[in-house]
Amino acid sequence: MGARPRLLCVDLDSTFAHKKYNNSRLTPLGKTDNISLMEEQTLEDLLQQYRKGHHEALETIVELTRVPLYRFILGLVRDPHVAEDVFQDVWLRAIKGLHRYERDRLLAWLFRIARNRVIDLSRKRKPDASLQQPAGSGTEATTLEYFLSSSSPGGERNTSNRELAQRIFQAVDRLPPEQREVYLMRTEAEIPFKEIALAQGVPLNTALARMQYALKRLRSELSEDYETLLHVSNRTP
Amino acid sequence: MNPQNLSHRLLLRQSGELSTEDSAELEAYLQENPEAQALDQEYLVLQDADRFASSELVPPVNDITLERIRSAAQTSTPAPRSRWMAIAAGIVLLLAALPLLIPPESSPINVQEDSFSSTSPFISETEDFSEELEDLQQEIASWNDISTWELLEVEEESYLAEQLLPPVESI
Repeated sequence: MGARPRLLCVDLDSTFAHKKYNNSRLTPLGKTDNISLMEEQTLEDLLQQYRKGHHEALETIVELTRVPLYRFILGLVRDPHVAEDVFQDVWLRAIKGLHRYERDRLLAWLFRIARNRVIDLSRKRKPDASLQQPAGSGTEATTLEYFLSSSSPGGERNTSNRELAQRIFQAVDRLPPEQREVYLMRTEAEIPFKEIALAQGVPLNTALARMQYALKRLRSELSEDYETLLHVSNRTP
Repeated sequence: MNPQNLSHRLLLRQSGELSTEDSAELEAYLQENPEAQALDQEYLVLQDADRFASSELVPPVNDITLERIRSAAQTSTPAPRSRWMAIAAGIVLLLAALPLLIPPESSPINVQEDSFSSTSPFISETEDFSEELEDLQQEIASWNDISTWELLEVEEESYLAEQLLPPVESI
């Protein structure tokens, strides 16, 4: 494991340091656009460089997309080890299939590959499986144990952050699979609902309803932490 | 505006998928309804929550994984070039396979050869062969006075006799 690059150090006295909404769009602190949109152009530029033969550009792309892609996969498979394998596989497939990638949202494209890969894995283990039955053999406990066992990089200062983060992961893990998928597609890659509905093969209203129920459930699960979340997300009415 | 309609519109506005007209209408509604404003805020906060948790907990890419990706990237040909290479290779293959795909037309020379062959000694050679074949068939027929089934029966009877009857010396 290498050093963990971070956009900004987060603590509870600050805000959601790496992004916050502004005019309904996520905005990283000190920058003018949300992380997906901000980096989407960067990703496209890097992709162009890679296509011109600058292989090192891909490494930067992998790093820029690491958190949302890994989190999305983890949310589907709920097993950190399986998630790591899928993450690698997604990139190997993406590299092979880059010629098929038309100018689109790279992250959304990677999410689609990841989603298909997770479904393939589930079917290998159980032929009639879907995302309803995650590919990972793990449970939420596996995910949490894994993260709890990894040492806190920031020491004392980050402990409360990590504990809160763990409670959030726990709550998200408890969502029904189809709601969890919509929630993660929205939160991690900001995939539009129309695309999510297409990916899930459901009407737009169903995708919206799934998100609505997911948020309602999270609100209930995180009720004790809501004030803290409100504070750290720096949302003011 | 019913609660579900409001929720859907808020979500669509946050994802940038709500039309300008609907956005304006929703904005006016939010101004008049503090509860709807609170719901809007709640949705945003709860979506931020997972991003916050990810930034805290998602581990860095494993070195081995990164090395494999890096290695795959280095061995992979950049896309546009590979696409054109594939098209060019396809054209070359098609050109190479073209003579095999189109059946050759019969030429006048072939026709002449055919007509020539009808007057050639080939027919007499065929006649000789059929005569030889007839001779062979007759020879086989002369040896076939005992049919195969009959031969099998005889063999079986001899075997039973050997097994069941005592040897001549013992009688």
